[in-house]
Amino acid sequence: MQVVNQDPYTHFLEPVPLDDMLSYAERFYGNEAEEIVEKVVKLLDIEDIVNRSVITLSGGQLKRITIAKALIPNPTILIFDEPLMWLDDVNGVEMFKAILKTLNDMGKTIIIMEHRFLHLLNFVNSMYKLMQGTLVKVDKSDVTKLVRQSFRRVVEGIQALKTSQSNSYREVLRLDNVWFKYGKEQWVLRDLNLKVYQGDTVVIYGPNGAGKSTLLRIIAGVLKPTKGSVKRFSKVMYIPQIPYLFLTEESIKKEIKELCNNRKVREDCFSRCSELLNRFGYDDLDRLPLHLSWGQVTRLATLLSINTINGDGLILLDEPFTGSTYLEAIALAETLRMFTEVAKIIVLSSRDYISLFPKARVYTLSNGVLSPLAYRDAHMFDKAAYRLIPP
Amino acid sequence: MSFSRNLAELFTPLCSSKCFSLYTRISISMAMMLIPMTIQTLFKGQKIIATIYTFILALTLLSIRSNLKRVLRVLTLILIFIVIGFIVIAISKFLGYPTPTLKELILSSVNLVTLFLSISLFFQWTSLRELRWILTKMGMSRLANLTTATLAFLPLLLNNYIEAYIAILMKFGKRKVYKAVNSLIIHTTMIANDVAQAIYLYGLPQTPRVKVERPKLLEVLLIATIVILAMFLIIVAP
Repeated sequence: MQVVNQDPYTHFLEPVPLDDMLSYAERFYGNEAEEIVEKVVKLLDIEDIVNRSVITLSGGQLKRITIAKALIPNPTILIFDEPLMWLDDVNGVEMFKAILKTLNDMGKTIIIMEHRFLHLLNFVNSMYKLMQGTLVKVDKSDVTKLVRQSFRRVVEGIQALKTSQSNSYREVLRLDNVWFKYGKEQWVLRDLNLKVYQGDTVVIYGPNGAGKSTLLRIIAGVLKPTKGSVKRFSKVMYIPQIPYLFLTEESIKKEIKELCNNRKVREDCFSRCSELLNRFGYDDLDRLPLHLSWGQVTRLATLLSINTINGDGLILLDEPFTGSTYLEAIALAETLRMFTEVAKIIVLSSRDYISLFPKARVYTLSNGVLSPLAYRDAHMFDKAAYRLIPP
Repeated sequence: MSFSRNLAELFTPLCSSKCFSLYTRISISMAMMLIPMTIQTLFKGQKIIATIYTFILALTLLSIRSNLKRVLRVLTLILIFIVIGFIVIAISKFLGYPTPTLKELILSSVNLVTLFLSISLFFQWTSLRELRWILTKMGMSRLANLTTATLAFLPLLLNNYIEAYIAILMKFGKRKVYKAVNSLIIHTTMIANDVAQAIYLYGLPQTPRVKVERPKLLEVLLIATIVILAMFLIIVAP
């Protein structure tokens, strides 16, 4: 039996995956290790990436290699813990479906723990929900019916999205004809134009490597556009994909204190922020942020950011749902929706979460071009599907 | 931003055993480290031609597999330290303290840069499993395991630095951007957890079976040329 963890980085002890797989295979097969690794590499079609350094690989590519590594001892049972986490829609999810098909053909027993399970309906024989420590069997036909219902409702909801968003508020960000490339490499961003107003929610969707993070860094002012201009009219906060990198102190209380040190009225700032965090369930302010779950840290970073910008600036969120459970994702989206005066730019590589922002302006970033998302093509799920998820 | 990524990649193994034999790779990178150290220790402020030769050779060898532009960009970090050194020496001279001559200063700087390049050459040319094998052969298997766990995640950590930098810059402004170090410490503990999980799932890597082939004639000639030419230049040239 082999377990494939959520985080692909937990599978490698060597910087080059091929070396790592060879070391692992030698334990079981001795001198035949190389041959076995070669077979597994071919099976999962990873010849072109397995020799590259871990840091140059995307989450999806790494996930594929992880599965290859797990196959080395030829396990009968494979357990996947949230396999779709870190994967984008274009390359990732489709890639995982192809792998599942291969594993099915090999006759492997597969157990999948997944929140975004709707993608995998055609590849499973039975479904269960884990509720208060008990496994309850779910009828597949019920789920299919739910999906159809939810899809219809989403399409109906999309019509409403076409109505324009805020227009009475002040402008917080303007991008005019922004072009960007690293050195003499190809253009990463081409002629981007974007206006963000106070209270706007802008979702930018794109696959891994589309240039979303580069765009955020340009907006943040860390990178300068090669051509064009970026104008920021308010304070900007940035929450990285790994939210723990946002935090610098050993307790939540110290985080608040540090943030409020820059303010004129420190006491007021501290009490306001503590109250805000209390409202959202952060009762123990002496707690080490490291002990919070991924989703809780993202939400904490968001709330701290909102307090810092005094409720009317711009927050940039880079893939805020990467490590969160569905419920944590919903909680974060609801939190963001509550602060109507704050502008948010949310970068996503999965369409699954777009429906969490029904009033957002949604764009796709593809080949460096920013364009409004073709809503009708979007395969989104609404809350009807979450009925299967325990409270 | 791409600076930290370039720096990370400079210490990541790029060339597997398919490039040169292990003996050749170790010999060349060791020779490249020893030459500037010898010049600096025994002939301080002398041997201009030998110094230039090793510097150009180090760049050439690095550019075989790595992007030369990236290497040069990373050199800016070392140049910063060199400039600081220049400033300190200029101040010392101004205050009347004994200082090295300009020639000595420049040659020492070039030697330092060459040494840095040679060290990164060693790490690029030797895969971790080869490094582990070498350490195990030297009777240091525990160190080999520790090295594995440490070096495997160093490039990843460097790569995450930029994320922390942006977040903290936005959070506190330029004056407190140093606090990004705290975030990285927290992140390091998480990476340590990842390492622990990897060890739990797959166990510590065993002593690797590394194929050690004899160097080909051309490789032997290459090593000999590098060393003999360097020795010739050190002994004969000014």
